[in-house]
Amino acid sequence: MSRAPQPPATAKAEPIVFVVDDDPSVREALGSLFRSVGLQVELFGSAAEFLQRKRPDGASCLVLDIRLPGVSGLDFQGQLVKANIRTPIIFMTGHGDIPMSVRAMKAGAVDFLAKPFRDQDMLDAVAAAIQRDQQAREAEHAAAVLRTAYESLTAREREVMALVTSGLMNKQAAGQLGLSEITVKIHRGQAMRKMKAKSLADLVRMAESLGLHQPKEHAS
Amino acid sequence: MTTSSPAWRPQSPAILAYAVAILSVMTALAAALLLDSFLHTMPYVSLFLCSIMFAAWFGGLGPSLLATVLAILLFTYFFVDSDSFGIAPNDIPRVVLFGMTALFVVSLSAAQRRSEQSLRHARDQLQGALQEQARLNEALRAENAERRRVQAYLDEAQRLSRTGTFSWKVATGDVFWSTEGGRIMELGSTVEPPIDVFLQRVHKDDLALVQGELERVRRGEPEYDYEFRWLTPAGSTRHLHVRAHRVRSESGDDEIVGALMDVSETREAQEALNAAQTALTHAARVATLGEMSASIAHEVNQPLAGIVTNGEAALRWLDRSEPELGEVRSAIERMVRDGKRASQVVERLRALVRKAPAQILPLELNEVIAEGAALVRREIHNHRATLQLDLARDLPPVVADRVELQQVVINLMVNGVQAMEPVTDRPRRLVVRSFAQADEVVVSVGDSGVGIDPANMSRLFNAFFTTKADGMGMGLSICRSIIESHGGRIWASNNTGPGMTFQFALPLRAEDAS
Repeated sequence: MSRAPQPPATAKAEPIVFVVDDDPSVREALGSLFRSVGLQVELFGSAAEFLQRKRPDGASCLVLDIRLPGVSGLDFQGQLVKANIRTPIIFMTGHGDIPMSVRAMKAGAVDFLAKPFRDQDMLDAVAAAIQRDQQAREAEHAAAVLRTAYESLTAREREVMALVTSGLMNKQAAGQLGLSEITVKIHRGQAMRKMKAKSLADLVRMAESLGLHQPKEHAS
Repeated sequence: MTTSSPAWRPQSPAILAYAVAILSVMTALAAALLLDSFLHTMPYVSLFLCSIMFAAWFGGLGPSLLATVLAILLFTYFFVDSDSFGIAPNDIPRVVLFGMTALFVVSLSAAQRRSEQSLRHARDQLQGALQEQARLNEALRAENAERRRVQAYLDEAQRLSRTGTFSWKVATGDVFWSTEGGRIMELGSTVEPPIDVFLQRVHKDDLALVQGELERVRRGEPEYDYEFRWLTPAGSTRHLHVRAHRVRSESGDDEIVGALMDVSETREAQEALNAAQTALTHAARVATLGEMSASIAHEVNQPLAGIVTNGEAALRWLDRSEPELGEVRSAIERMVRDGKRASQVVERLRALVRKAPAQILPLELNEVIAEGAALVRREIHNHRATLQLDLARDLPPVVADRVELQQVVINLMVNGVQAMEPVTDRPRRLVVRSFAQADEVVVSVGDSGVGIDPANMSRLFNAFFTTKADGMGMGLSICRSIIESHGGRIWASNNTGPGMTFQFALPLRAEDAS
């Protein structure tokens, strides 16, 4: 196990809300609001400042003014996607920015709030965004754990796992691999233990999320 | 018969007069000899006297004396002592008597002739004088007619030009108004209002000015040139322009002579023009703000959003099981700050939108620029441009209307931002500078936009000239009229690099210099 690559740390860190707005009035007010409900907040006056910050370990979300000096909120959203930073974004807009709102939502924004907004709407949006990030992170974590476990299998174990999870009987798999049925059973048991699968059905689900079965194999 | 020399009595040469004298004596002698031989009467004396009288009447003193001598000789020869010139002693008295009578006749005739001549002379003189008089009369009549014609022209010219004339004897207070002068003041040309009645009709706002001018008259100033408003008895207001000068006299009896022009129409047209200009300027201002409405709404919305969120945050801090009063306090402090900020924005907007006559006051140009920049800031951000303010410190104040100058600054900045819209390959930079030079303060607004075709440079400030698809072409034209109405100038030039720079210069405290 010690030689296996470390999976990402579990999402135990406190969630953080990042606020990017060039206007101090809104920025500081949001900071106070989020802190009042016990959220961690970091405030930034520009997109560039935000980009300089190290990515957080825990769940986070970004509250972003759609009109920023220099680079617009939408462009910034695009930059983050390109940089594979998938922090959920809540946009704040001024009056009459409907076309921009539509573009932002299409580009994957979580929510869209017109200034001045209700505090509860903002807090709900932030909670939803953090939850979404949390889930994404957990899914990512689970996948990483799975991938680590899978990587710990021997080549033979992987072969056996692929065949038995594709629906073949032990005997059929043994036939295909040119092994005895007993040997296949041992490899299967070993793989299930390493993968922490409680049942064959569990192992099948893991194989699917690992993408072991290509469509053509199903077709055969 | 007014001829000076009667034709029936020729002004004969002397030789003719003497000949006539001899002839008349000879005729008398012949008549006497004929009468003596046929009728045996002897009328020598009377016939000779007749001939002498004729000679005297015809020829005057000389010929009559010749006739007298001749008659005495002939009388002596023929009738006193026949055929001899010797005189018998008893005949001497007759000859002497005859001679004396003859001389008497001669002297009478000569006297009569002299008086007649002097009479004729006097008559001729009188006649000449009469003719001269008639000629003078004729000339006078012609001159009078000309004078009346000129007066009529003058009256007509005064009526057409709405210019009256007046004269005012300062010492006596006698005032003369021309017909048009009376008509302009609607007083009637014969009425000479006393000075206090006159002052009652002066518009109360101009009373001090008119009294000042009257004071100048009392001080003896030589020239007068001023305008005031006059209330006619009918209740309307007229704008009158007075130009007058003092005609000095040796006796100290000075007279003020001048013209009074009714410039109401000019003034009213001017006022209408000013009002239209103000309305247009205001409309352009509102239009500019309209173009930036989204940015300006943001400018107000931002602090409002801050206030609302701070308020809500403060409530949440209070609602905690252990209220965080420090957080509540700082949230409320931010609310106060943001509230002030929002009201400042609204105040600036109100000032720009307000339709008020220009207020010319000393002001800090840098403040005007900063306030304008505050309103345009968001618009600049929205266009992905940056604003650099490069303002000289200790700029002397200029005398101007704050709102109008701000309009110019905003207009130039918005123009610059719009000119940079197509620019994608270089930073969009707007640089606003202020500095003092010589006796003026200059503000420049430079952009890094597309610049302008030099061929269009001269038309840049013309009304309706625009390079924008949706532009009206009024902005820069209004900027120019605003700057020029402040006694300044505005110009533009392409940068050596990309973009162009607009500049305006305002004179420093123009009213101090004048």
